[in-house]
Amino acid sequence: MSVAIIIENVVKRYEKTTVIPNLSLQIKNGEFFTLLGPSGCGKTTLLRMIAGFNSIDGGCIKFDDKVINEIPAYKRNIGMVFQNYAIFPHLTVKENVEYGLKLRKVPKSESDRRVEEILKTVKMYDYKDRLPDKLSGGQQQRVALARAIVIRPNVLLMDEPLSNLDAKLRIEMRSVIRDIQKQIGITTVYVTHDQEEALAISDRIAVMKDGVVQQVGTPCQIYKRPTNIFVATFIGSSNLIKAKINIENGERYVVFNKDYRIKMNNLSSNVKDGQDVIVSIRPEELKIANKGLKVKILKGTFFGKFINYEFTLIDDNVFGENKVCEFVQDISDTNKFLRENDIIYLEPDLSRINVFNEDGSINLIEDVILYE
Amino acid sequence: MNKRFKFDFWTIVTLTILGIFLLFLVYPLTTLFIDAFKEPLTSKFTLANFQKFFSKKYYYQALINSIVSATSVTLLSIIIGLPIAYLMTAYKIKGKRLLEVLIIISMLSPPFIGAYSWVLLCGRSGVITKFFKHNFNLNIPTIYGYVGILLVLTLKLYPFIYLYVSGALKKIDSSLIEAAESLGSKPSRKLAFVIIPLILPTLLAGALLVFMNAIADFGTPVLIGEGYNVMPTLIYSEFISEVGGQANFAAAMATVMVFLTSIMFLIQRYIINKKSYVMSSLRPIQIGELKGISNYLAHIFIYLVVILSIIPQLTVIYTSFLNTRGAMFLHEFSLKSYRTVFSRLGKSITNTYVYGFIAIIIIILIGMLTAYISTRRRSTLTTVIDTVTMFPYIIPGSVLGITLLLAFNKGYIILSGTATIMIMAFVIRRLPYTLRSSAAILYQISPSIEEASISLGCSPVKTFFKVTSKMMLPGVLSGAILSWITVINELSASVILYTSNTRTMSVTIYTEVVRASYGTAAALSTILTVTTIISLLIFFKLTGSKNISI
Repeated sequence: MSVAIIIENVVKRYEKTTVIPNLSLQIKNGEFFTLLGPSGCGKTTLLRMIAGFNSIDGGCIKFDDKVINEIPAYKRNIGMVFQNYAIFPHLTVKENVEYGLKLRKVPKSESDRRVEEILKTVKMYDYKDRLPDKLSGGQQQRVALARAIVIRPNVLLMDEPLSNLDAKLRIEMRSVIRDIQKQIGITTVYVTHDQEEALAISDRIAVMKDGVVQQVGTPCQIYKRPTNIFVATFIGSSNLIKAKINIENGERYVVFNKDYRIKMNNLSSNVKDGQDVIVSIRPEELKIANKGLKVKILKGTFFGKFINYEFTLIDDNVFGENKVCEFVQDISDTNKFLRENDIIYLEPDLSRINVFNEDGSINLIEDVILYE
Repeated sequence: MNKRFKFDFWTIVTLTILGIFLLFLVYPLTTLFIDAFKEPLTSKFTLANFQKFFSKKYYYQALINSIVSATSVTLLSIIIGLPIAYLMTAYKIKGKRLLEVLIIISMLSPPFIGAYSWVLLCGRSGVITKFFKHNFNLNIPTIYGYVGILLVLTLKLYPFIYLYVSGALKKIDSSLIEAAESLGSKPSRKLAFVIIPLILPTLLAGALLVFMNAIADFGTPVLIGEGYNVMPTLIYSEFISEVGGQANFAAAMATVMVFLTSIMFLIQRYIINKKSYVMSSLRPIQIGELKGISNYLAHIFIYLVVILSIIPQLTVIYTSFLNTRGAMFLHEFSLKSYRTVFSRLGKSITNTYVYGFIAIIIIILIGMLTAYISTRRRSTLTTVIDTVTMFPYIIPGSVLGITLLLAFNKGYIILSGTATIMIMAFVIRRLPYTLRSSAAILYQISPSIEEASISLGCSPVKTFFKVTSKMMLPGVLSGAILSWITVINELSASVILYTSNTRTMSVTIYTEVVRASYGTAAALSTILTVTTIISLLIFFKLTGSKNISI
């Protein structure tokens, strides 16, 4: 049955390039664990190492206490769901789902019962005698899910299973997957590059970049306290503003310009007076106020529930190339709509914003969790 | 994958296939090339064989003849095939479907049947020759020699141009032509500046294919060429007349021939790689209607060509049911030829089917496995295999026959005169069709289908047989049918390798024609042609396709 996955110092090389230099993770039994990162970050490579389709060039992967490095893929008892569904086109829906059971020599009566049960769970029972080419993408992915789960695998591995579906179906299928996973309680490793999907579906997320895990945590932890600028900008969006640390009478301030500074109570004790920092503020963490950052509105986009404004800082010390920032205004909060070229003040929510060191590699807030 | 060497199923398959190619292709060819540089008696290194070839007109004239006739055939095939392809794609032509099938049949039936029936019609004592002689006292121009080769090969090979070009024309989206028209292009200009440039790479590829086929053909020049020697016939006669078994001179000529075809092959590759446009047509060219005189002319032209190219088949079928006396056909129907065939030459029929069947099984097996290892299990060894499997494209059948015979009539493995050597010649010559179609379909099958099967607990080898091979089957079959048809019609290699026990129908047709036993030749040709047509019809039925990819 379901197992924990322990990944210890694994290495993956292709020819001479090292894709994963040294990676360790612990995935708990029954957990929905997501590997999230941009393309080329090694997330699919790692998943395929767990599956057995890629060799492990260093370190080891364990299912509970058992090292699986040398066990070939077909003996690992995994359920895998692929991006392109990978449904056998020459078999009907029922035959597809039966495939793994037949190989395991499950008796006919039990096999029929399990196939029926799982097809009803994924709501595909009415289609059981159809051939795959008569099914839509979403239906094919339901069959693929049923086929992977019905064999009661040790772990369920999913490689971007929703990225070939259209936006609406993606949201529908993501809750189908989440519900079924919770219902049967199987350890699941899910690969995606879609941060919104990862936030919505996961128990925990590992954010990866260049084969290195940046941060592991619950969706909420990662969103609220990203460990570095990469995570802060990859998950959700963040305005990055240059500032300096000022320490006065033991109190720590973040100074944006000569007119505006904020007092921070949760900065780590390592910060030094005069240190350059980058303040990361999410669009929803800014509020219109009488004092604060002086900005000019460039454009407003109406989304129904909220309005998204693009602005630039008048003091012009935004980090990076793109100097356009964003903030959102809840419709219910105000009746006043801003117009182009309006000059206003914005005040950040002190408890929520993040402060990074000069190169963006370390979050200077006290309660950041690097590995939950 | 792993750096450690894994001795699994696929490694064994790779090594086995490599072994087969090394034994039956690389080793014989190397022997041949080495022989070409050896002095017959002393086995010392020499260039004398090549000097002999290039110094005597009798020899080098054959090379010139080969190049001249192949070039003329290619040009004529373009002149005929291109307009037919355009007219059939762009305009309404009555009986289009039937015409297409007839064109394919005329392409796939053996060329020596064409040669032989044109001799029956227009030869020295041919029906048409006599008709003109008796009624008008006219001597029609001789069919033998250059003209005959040109006629027979053009009617047999223009279908390549037709199929290639109409394939390309079907891929041109009509929006391209509409764009040209909207920019003010007149109909004649749009043909010259839009359509021709788009199909030019395909046309060149087809033309080179025609050239390669024409230059390698043995059956046609041997039956209708008479004094007009070309390389395949010269190699054959030099080889056969070498009584002592010293074939160094023939080997040298074969080397010259392979050198020439290799160059053509490399040019063809270069053109296909560099100049092909990727087009996918959402909306093919609208089929228009020709009006008035041009409509009649188009129909007359197309029907004339197609009828001319199908005449040989009709002639052999008709004459096979005539009574004969010696070389003469009498004006009465009889099944005598068939009776003779079954009583005296029945062995050649069974041989054809048995060898053909064994060969096609081996071809399908090797084709599927080779396609699999070279697309899914890439390694240095598969690169070697990929290169070696190109060889059959550049080695004319007669050269392959000689190489196999030279390699296996002495030494450790003696296969000369056996069925094995015939079957291996078939396999090597006709594998490429199946190999290519198998590889093509594999590229369309996502590797994750196989991974899905493996993840469900099926071992990789079992997955290949349970899932991959089943999904490959339609593609494999479309190539295998071509392999099969060309195997049973194979002449140029088997004519060198056969013995009285291992002769096939095409060899027997050739020997019967040579000894002027026209009736039995016609009966055998009919059996062969009917087999070809039935195979094609089964293929159309099975694949549901209306065309065939070369």
